[in-house]
Amino acid sequence: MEPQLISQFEKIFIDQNSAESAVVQRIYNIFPHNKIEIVNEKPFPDAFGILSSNEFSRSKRLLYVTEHKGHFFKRCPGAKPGLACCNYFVLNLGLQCNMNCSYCYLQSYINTPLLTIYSNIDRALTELKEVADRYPQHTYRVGTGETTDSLSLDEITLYSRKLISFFKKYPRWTLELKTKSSKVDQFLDVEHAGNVICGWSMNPQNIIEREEHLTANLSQRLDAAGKCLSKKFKLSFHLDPMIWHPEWKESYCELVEKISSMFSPEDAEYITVGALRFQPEQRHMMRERFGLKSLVTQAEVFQGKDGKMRYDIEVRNEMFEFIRNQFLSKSRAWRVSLCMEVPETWSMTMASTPRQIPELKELFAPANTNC
Amino acid sequence: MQFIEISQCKTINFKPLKPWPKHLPSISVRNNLIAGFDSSRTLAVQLDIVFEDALTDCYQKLTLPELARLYKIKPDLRWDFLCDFYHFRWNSDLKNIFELLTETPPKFQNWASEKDLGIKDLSPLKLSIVSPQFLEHITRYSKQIGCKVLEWGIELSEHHSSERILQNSENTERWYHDIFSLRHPITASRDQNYTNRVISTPWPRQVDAQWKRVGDKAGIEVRFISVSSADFQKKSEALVKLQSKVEKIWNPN
Repeated sequence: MEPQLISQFEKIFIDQNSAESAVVQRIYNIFPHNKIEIVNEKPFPDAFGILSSNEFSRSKRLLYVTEHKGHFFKRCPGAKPGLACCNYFVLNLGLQCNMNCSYCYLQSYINTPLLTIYSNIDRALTELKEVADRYPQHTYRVGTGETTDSLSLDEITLYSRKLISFFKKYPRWTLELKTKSSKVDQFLDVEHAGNVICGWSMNPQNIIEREEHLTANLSQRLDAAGKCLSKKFKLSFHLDPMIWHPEWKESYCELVEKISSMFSPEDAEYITVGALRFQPEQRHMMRERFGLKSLVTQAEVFQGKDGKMRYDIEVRNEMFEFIRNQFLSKSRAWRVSLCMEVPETWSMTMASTPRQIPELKELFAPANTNC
Repeated sequence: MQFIEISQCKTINFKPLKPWPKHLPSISVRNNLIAGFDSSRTLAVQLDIVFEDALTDCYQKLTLPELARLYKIKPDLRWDFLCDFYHFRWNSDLKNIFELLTETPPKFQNWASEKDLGIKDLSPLKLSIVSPQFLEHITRYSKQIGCKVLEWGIELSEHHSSERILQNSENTERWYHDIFSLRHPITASRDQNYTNRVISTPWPRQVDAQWKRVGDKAGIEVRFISVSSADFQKKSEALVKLQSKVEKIWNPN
């Protein structure tokens, strides 16, 4: 384990109810014991509501292990009126991320001054089993990278191992582990049913350096994807969020070049493309935390119909079309779709809505929404 | 009820915006005058209660600039209690905002009070020192526009001199447009090009067309009034005939 990951956390709070869990036993093996404290209640009970920039930054260094009380299994936020949704479900195994991207949506979402890992993953699996038993014919896609990175702390939790084994029993379902890290070694030996997609958020190296702090660099991400491929895991790449900058075409062209030179369209289940977007209220925190030189705080963005700040639709279309054409110029077999976009953008970029595109039709077919 | 001569009190005049009712006496808490600063009377009612309790009884609502001025005079109060009462969260962020606010021109402070600006509205102040003239110019705007201009102005301060930012500031409407264009140069330039093309397009008579931005989208807004179905048909047909010219608005080459 990287020493950086161990030193990253100032303090680890363990809820008494989680003290016997497997993840806590691992934490005791990994971290110096003087950093660990067993608590009877959630630390910092007075710090609630909107966090200040400093509180948010500090929350990344304070780990809290507790049981999750609510539902683990939820529909993706893309399933909203007005957005073209790809029927993605999310399994939240934690809250907050140890990496530090300038545009991260958690800055508008987190209201607790701690990075939380849920200790009761077994209950999450029970929830999944109940849904699977109730709807045996459905083909759910489940991702764990919604409120935390799927793999950046996986060396500590090893949750990927449990999930991959669980999904082996449900081959109709798909598990997607989405990350900006390169931490895959801990699950490569786990047997799977070919239904696990290891997905990487991708950006050109200049954007990673400038906006995606504490994440793996581009070559590390590509190498990790290569390792997964060698163990027959499926891959996905998410060029999301694309960030406009004066040399964006050169940067993204190089990125497509790197992906397509290392992988073939058959290796990647799909490529998604999305452009910078964020909730208007998080701009204050982004400015304070990343300054005025960040490409994100400098961005020319405007409030869209869904309330989020986005580039002008013409800029977005140009970016999406560019990426799509770059991939298609390498091979017509690359499957490129848009993420969190309005149907209008789909029509302008792809000349049709997702359900009209044969290779994406299945992905965007309406799913059961009772979960 | 006890009274005290106002001249014997320490005045905690944090300049509350709402005038103290003239028929009520001035209020002192343990020799600290906290209300009725402008009274012509010589005596104040002297209360022997906790300062913070007296303050919250006298002032049911205080805005951020008023609290900031009070903080400057009395930093040793129980600020967690006061902030809770006035619906703010006492932390280093708020303390920082207090300190920055008291450095801004009184005109800006009063505008921020009148518009009831919150912590987030004022948070751009934390990033850069802005000229007092800039802040005073903002006070001519509504809360919504003023807050946008404050943000853009501070974001622009990274790359532009305050002279450039203040250019055209005498003209309220033009300055807003100017600041927008400076902050969004690519979008503004593109919108201007489209505007020019829309203007030079020979629209049918009695049809108004303009390039309009609505959030993250911009396009041509076409407006006409039809007084009859024949009139509607005539104008619609005239617009259809314009198709090739309209095409050139998006694809001039």
